[in-house]
Amino acid sequence: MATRQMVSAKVSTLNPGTIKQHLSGGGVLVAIGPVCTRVSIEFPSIREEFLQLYHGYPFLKGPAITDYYLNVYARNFYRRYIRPQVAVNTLMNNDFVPLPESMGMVAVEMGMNWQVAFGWKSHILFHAGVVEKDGIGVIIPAVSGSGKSTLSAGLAYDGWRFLSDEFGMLEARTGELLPYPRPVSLKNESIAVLKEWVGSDIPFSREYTGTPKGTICYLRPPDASLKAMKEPVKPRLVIHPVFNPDARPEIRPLTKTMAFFRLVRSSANYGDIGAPAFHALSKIAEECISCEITYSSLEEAIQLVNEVVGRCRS
Amino acid sequence: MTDHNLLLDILKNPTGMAELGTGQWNRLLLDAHLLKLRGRLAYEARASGLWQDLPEKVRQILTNAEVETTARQRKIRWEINRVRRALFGFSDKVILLKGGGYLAQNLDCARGRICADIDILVAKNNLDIVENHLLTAGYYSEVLNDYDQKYYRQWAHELPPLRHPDRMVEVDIHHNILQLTSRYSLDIDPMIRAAVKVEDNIYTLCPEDMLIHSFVHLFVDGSVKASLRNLLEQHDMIVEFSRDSTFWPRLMDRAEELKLTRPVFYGLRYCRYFLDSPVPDEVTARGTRAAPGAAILKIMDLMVRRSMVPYGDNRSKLTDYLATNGLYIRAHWLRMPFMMLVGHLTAKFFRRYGFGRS
Repeated sequence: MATRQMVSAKVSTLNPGTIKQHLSGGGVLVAIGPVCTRVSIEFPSIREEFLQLYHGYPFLKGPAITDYYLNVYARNFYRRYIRPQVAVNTLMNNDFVPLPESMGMVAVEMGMNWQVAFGWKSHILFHAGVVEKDGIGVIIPAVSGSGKSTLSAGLAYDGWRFLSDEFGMLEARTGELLPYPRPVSLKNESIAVLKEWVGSDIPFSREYTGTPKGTICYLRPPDASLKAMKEPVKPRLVIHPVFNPDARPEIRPLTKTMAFFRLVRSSANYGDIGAPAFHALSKIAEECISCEITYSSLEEAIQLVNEVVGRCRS
Repeated sequence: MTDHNLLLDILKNPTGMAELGTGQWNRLLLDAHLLKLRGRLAYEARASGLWQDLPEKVRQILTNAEVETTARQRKIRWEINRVRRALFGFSDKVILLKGGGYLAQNLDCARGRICADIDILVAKNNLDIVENHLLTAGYYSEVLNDYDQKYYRQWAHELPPLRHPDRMVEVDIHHNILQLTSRYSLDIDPMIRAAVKVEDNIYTLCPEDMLIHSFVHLFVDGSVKASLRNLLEQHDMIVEFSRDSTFWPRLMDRAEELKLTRPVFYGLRYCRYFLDSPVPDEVTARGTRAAPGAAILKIMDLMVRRSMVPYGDNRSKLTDYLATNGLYIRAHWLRMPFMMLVGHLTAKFFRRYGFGRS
C-alpha cells in the first residue's frame, strides 16, 4: 500500500530550457522509478549529451525529497579549460579515476550507479536485468559479460516492458519488483548487435571508445517503458543467461535450492538487509520458475526466453 | 553564540520532524548524510513514535540508513567475537575503545550509530603477543610501506591496522589513547586498571575514562571537522552516566589525575553549547579552571563553531575553510614536536610526489 502511494506521486515536468539552466547551476531533479537525483554538470558538452540521452525522462519542477546529489565538475581551471578532465562527486566516498571530457557521460552513469549500488538498502537489489510482458516479471541475474544488458535491451525492443538492465529492485514486503529504467549500458560487440536489432540510431548515445571497460554505448529504453516507470510487477521467472558463441541453445531448470543461492549471489545488499531478504528470496525461489539458458545469439536467447514464458503460462 | 542549524534542532528535539516541509527535509537529510547521522535520525524517528507520520519518501531514505547502521553494528559485534576467539588463551585485558565499547556496553550513544572499525587497547608489553595472536588467526596488515610501518611502531599509539581477509573490518591495536609524541603525555596504566569487564578477557573503559577518551579523541588527537556525531556521543554519555550522582566528581577528579583537564573543559563547553548537555554549574565552574587564556579561547570557539556544523546556509566558505584547517594544524601541532612534524610532512610530501622509495 505504502509503495503505491510513493509511486503515484504527481509529476510535473520542466521545459527543456529550464532543465539546461538548472543542470548548469544548482542541479536538476531527475526522477527514475523510485530514485530522485539532483544532477549538476559543469561542462556544456556533457550537459548536451546528458539531455539527449535522458530525453523523455521526468525532470521534476517542484521540490521533491532527494535521494542523491551528483555533481560533475572540473577540479581546477587547468582541468576545466586546458586539459579538460571530469571529476564526479557523489557525496558517497567514490574514488573514480577522472576521465577526459569526451567520456563525461560515462562518468555521470558511473556516479549514478555507485550511489544506488552502495546507498540503496530499502529494497533488495539484484545485479540483474528486469523485464515484463502480460504481467509476467522476469529477473535476469548475471555476472558481467554474460549478456544480461544485451538480452534485457533486446527484449525491451521486442515488445517487452523494460524495468532495468543493472539493478533489479525488490520490495521485500510486497514481493514486487520496482522499475528503475536507466539507459542500458552496452559494451563492445553488443553495441552493433543492438543497433541492428533496434533498427534506428535515435535512442542510442554516441559510442565512447577507450573507456576502462572498452567501448561503451548507451541505449535509452522504449518510451512506453519510461512511461510505466512507476508500475511494479510480480516476478514469475528467473532466467540466468550464459552467453557462449560455440554452444547449442539449451534450457536447464534449476532446483529450488540452487535458485535460492543463485539469487543470494546476485544480490548486492542481501547480507545487510538480513532476515527480510532471506524470506523474500525464499519466496521467489519457491514460487518462480528458475532456469539457466545457454545461447549463442540474441535471437536465440529471445526464443529461449519465450519458450520458458510458454511453460510459465501452461 | 547564535549559529542555527536544523539538524542540531532536530537532534535536540526530534518531535520537530513532524512539521518539516520538503526543503527542510532535504536540508536535514543532506546534513545528516554528510555528518553520518542519518542512522541516528532513523532511530529518533522510531523512538519518538513519529515514524508512521513521516512522508513515505523520508521513511524510505531513513530505512537505507537504518539497514546500513544495523548491518554495520552486526559486523562489528561479530568482529569482536572473532577477535575474542583469536585471543583465546591470552589472559590479560583487551579493552574495546569507542564504537566497539559502546556496543559492548549497550550504551545509549550506540543507538543508530554507524561504526566503521574496531579499536582495542592493550598494555604496551602485550602488543607483540596480541598482534601475533591476530596474525596467527589470519589477520594481515595492509600497511606495507616501510616508512609507515616504522612511523607506527616508533611513534604512534597504535599498530598498523589489521584486517581479516574474509571480513575486511579494520582492527586497530592501541597501547595508548594518545601519540607518544603528543604534548599531553598520558600514563595509560590507570585507565587499564580501571577497565570494566564485559566477558572473558574483553573489557571496556570505565564510564569516566570512556568520556574522557572521547573528549581527547575529538579535541586533542582528531579533526573537529564534521564531528558532530562525536559530540553527540559525548552528550549521550553525559546524560546516561550522570544519572549516577557520583559521576561528575569522579570525572573531574579523573581529568586532574590524568592531566587532561583542558580537553575535558573543551568537551563540556561545546556539548553545552551545541546540545544543551546537562552539565551542572559547579562542574562547569570547576572545568573552567583549565580554560586557556581569553584570546585562545575566543579563537577556539570561532573555529569549533565553524567546523562542527560546517554545512550551514549563509556562511562564508573562506572562514569555514580557515577554521577547519586551523583545527587540523592544531591537531598536528599537539601531536608531535615541531622538528619531528617537519620531518614527517617532508617524508609524506616526497612520497606523494613520487620521489620516495616505495
